Amino acid sequence: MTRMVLLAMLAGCAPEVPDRYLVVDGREGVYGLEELAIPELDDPWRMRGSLGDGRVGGYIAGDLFGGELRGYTGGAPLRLEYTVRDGTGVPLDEDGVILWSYYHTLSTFRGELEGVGFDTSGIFPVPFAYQPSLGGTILSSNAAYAGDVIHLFVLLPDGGGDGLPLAANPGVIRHEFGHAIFQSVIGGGVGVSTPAIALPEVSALNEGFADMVATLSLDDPDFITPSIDLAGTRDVTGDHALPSEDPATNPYSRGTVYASFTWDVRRALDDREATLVHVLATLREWAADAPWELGQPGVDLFPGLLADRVLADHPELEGTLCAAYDARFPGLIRPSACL
Amino acid sequence: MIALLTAAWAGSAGLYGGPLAYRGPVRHDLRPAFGVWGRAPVGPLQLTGELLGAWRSRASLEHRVILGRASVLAGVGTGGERAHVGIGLGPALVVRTGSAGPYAFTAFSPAVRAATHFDLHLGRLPLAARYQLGTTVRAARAWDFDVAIGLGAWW
Repeated sequence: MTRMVLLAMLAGCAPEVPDRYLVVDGREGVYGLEELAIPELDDPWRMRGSLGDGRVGGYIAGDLFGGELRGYTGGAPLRLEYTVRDGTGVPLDEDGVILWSYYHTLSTFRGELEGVGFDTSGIFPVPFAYQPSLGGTILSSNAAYAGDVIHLFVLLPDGGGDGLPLAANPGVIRHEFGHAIFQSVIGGGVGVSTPAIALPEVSALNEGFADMVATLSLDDPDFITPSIDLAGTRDVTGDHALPSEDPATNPYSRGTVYASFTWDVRRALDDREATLVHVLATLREWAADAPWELGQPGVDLFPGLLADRVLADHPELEGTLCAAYDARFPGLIRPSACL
Repeated sequence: MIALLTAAWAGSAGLYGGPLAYRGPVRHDLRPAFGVWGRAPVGPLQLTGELLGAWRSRASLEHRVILGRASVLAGVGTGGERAHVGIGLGPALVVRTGSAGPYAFTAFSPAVRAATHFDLHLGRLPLAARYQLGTTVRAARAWDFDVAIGLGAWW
């Protein structure tokens, strides 16, 4: 039976906090609405909690995708409208589903990362801006993480259509959180100026790394397709190989090659979680060498370091992984374990 | 004053449609909307009743909403045999009913509505064309806007 609700908005009253929320969840390419708890979400009306507080609108000065950010100003408190049915929060508008799904994805991903020994305490809380103005533009269907100078998740307006909104796509949010991980490891923290990340080659690895953590954590090699059909250009099961497009104009192209090799590793190991652990450790190892400080970004070292790390534990995979490496990176120096 | 009194002779009723800019928690969403109106003189005032319906659906989020609005506006107008223009203000009730996943919901919001209209008598037939512009305030930050054109009867 339908519950009749007389909204208390005029009085400014916050609705009760539900036990569970209707959120988009899923794995392996199948996503749908489920009723799940979000323990960190203290105030679902205004989207506030220990993972970060949200605001709506406001203005981001600079170029979000060009690495020239000067800060986020303005923004108003969110006021989602919802009712509670059998302990479950039921949003009256699409925005409620999108924002709760975003928060739920952060919640679960944090738990998964902590479960494999990755400390996320330096990243959370991460505030977010819902549908801000970007350099004077408000129409852009995307989600983004900005960790250079400012520390902010940006959820841009949804363009509509039949696809899953990007801000509600668990893979997209995990991908963006991958950028936060990358920033924290490469920059030694979030919200600190890290010029190296703006280098085209490093940007390509940044995109590739973000795809690695998204595909591995969801076990979904093509997590974007539920939202946008990119004709397989980001499907890490594809035959992506170097040479790629120029990272200065398309960092995703080379990044997808890196992520595709990582998916080769995942298939060889038949263990997505172990692969994710290797990827996180490889990033730390690569960052510790700081190759960009020598004027050589050295991002092509990353897959070799990953292969060496995996083959140290699984020498029986030498033939498989070295062949995969040769196919993806023809002409590059082979990993030590493949020499 | 003369114009106001002459307006009392004319009434109209019919169907209209147009975009409704509904203010959600974040922004105004444009939705197609259709409704009926009826306007009649009551003493020195023009009384207008409206019923409006709009909908929005997002299959990927399993979220569907039908919005209904009922309003009664009291106002003033001017015009004669050929046309009538007026403005009104009055209470409204907005109802949103729909479903999210397995759950159905219905929510009511009291509101205040203001609208202005231009009714045009079409030739010698008892037909009226309507052009309308209105706003409905459901809360401090929840202002909806709508424009519509319609066709109906003139008397």
